[in-house]
Amino acid sequence: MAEPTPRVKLPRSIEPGVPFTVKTRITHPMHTGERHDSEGALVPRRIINRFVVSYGGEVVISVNLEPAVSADPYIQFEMAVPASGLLEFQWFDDDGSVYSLQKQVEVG
Amino acid sequence: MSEPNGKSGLNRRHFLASAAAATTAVSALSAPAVLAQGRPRVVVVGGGAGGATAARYIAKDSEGAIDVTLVEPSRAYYTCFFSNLYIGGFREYASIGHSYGDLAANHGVNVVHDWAVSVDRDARSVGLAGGGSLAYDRLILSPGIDFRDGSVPGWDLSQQNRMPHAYKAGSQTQLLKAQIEAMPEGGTYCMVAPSNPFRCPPGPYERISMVAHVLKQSNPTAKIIIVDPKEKFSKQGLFQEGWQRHYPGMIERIGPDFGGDKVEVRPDSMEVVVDGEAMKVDVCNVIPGQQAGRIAAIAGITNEAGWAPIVPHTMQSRSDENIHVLGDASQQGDMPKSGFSANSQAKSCAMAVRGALTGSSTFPPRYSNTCWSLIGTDDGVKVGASYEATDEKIAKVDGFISQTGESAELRKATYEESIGWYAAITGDMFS
Repeated sequence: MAEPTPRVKLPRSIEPGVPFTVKTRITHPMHTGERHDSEGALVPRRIINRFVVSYGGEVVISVNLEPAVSADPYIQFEMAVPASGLLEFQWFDDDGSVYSLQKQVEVG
Repeated sequence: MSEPNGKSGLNRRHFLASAAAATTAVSALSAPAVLAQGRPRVVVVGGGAGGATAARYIAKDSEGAIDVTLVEPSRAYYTCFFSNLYIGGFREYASIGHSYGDLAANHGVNVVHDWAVSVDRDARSVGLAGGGSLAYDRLILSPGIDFRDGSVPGWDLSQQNRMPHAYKAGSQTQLLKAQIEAMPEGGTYCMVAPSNPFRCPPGPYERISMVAHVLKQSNPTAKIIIVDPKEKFSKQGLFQEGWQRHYPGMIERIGPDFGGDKVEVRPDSMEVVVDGEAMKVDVCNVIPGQQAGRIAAIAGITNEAGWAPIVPHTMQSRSDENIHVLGDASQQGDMPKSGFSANSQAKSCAMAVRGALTGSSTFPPRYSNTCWSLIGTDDGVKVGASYEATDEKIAKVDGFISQTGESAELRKATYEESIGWYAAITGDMFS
C-alpha cells in the first residue's frame, strides 16, 4: 500500500495565549484485524495506535487509538502557546513505523 | 401527472389535437415570415448528447418537413461519459468513438464539420470559421462546456498537455491514461477537482476510482490525491465506502478543511501548491471551473455565471425565443449537467421546435436523468431523478440513489444496466 500521508492545518494567524484549533489527519486503512479480503482471508490488524503532539519538547496531547477508529483518522484539538516555537506531530503504526510532521508556529 | 380535467369532457387526444390546431392558427398569423419561406430551417450547434439527439429527432419526426443542419467540428465524437472506463481499462478507446454518417444517411441531417463562431440574432444566421453562414428559423445551441480562465491559478489551456484536464473526451483522455501508466513506482497522481457547477458531478470521483483500479494492479504503492474546493461531492458515501474496500490507504482527499480551496499549480516544476505548501506530483489532472461553451456567450444569451438560462418547458433561451440551449451549457434548475440530461432535454426541445415550426402536437415535457459510476470491477452505483417543467425551473419530482452495503449481485446488475444505457443513448444520438 501507499505510504501514509500526515497532514496538519493551523490557523493563518495565532495570538499568544489565545486558544486556536489544530486539525490533523493521516491516510491509513486502519485494518481492525476482523475483516476479510475478497479471497476470504483475514486481513491482519494494522492501525495507528498512538498520536502524540509536542510543543518545544513538551507533550500537548497524547491519544491512544483503538481498532474501532475509522480509516484516515482525523483528530482536532484546541491549544494555546505563549510564544513562537516548533509543534511536532507523531503517528505510531502497529508495524513500528512512526510518521512525523513539524510545523513552526509564529505568534504575533 | 398532468391529466386533462375530466369534467370538461375532453380526453387527452382531443385536447392535444385542439391545442395543435390552435398553435397552427396562431403561428400562421403571428409568424408568416417563417411559414411563408417554405421549409423551415433548424441549425444545431454541437454534436453531443444534446445536439445530436435534437438534430436526429427533429429530422426523423418531421419526415423532411424541417431542414436540419448540425454544426460540429469533430468527425469522430468521443463521449465524455464512459471515458473514465477507458482510463480504467474497462473499455477500448474505439468503443467510445462515434461518427455522424448515419444522421445524414438515415435522417437527412446536413452535417457540417466546422466551428460556429458568430450568431447574428437579428438576421438569424450563424457564422462559420470556414467562412459562410447558415440561416435559421430556430437555432439550437448545445456547445457543452468551456473552462473558466483563472479558476486554477497557474493553469491555462496552453498547459493542457503537461497537466491534462481530460474533461472533454478524446486525445486528452488518451494523454491522461498514458501519463498514469508511465508514473514512476510509488509516484503521485493528483487531481484538482472543480468547483460547482460542473459537467458530470460524479465524474471526477469515478475517475479517481478508475485511476486507483489501474494503479492497484500496476503500481500498488502509488498515491492518489484529490485537491477539492468543495465541502461535499456527489455519491460521496458510496465512493468513500468503495475506495476503502477496493483501494485502502491509496486515496487522500484534501477538502477545504485542509486548504483544498486554496490551490495553485506550477506546470513547469510539476508542483501543486495547497494553502501555500508545495507538493511534487508525477501526474496532475486539472479539471478547471466551467462555463457554457463559448458560442453561448458569443450569442449573448449567458448570465454573469457564464451559463445560459432557459425556459423549462421548451429549453428556449430566456433572452431569445428563436434560440434553444441544451445540456451542460444551459442553466435550467435541478438537473445535473450530464449526457443523460442533455439527451432528455433534447427530446423535449425537438418536440417544441417541431410544434413551433410545423404545428405538430406538443405536450408537457417530463425530464429524467441517471448517472452511473463504476467504483471497481462489477461495482456500479447510480443516482437519478425525474423532473418536470415549472415556470421557474426544471424541478426535481423524485429521485433514487444506490445505498452503501449493497450486495455484489446488485452492484454488478447496476454496472450492466449502465452498459445497456450506453448502447441505448449512443443509438439515440447517432443511429
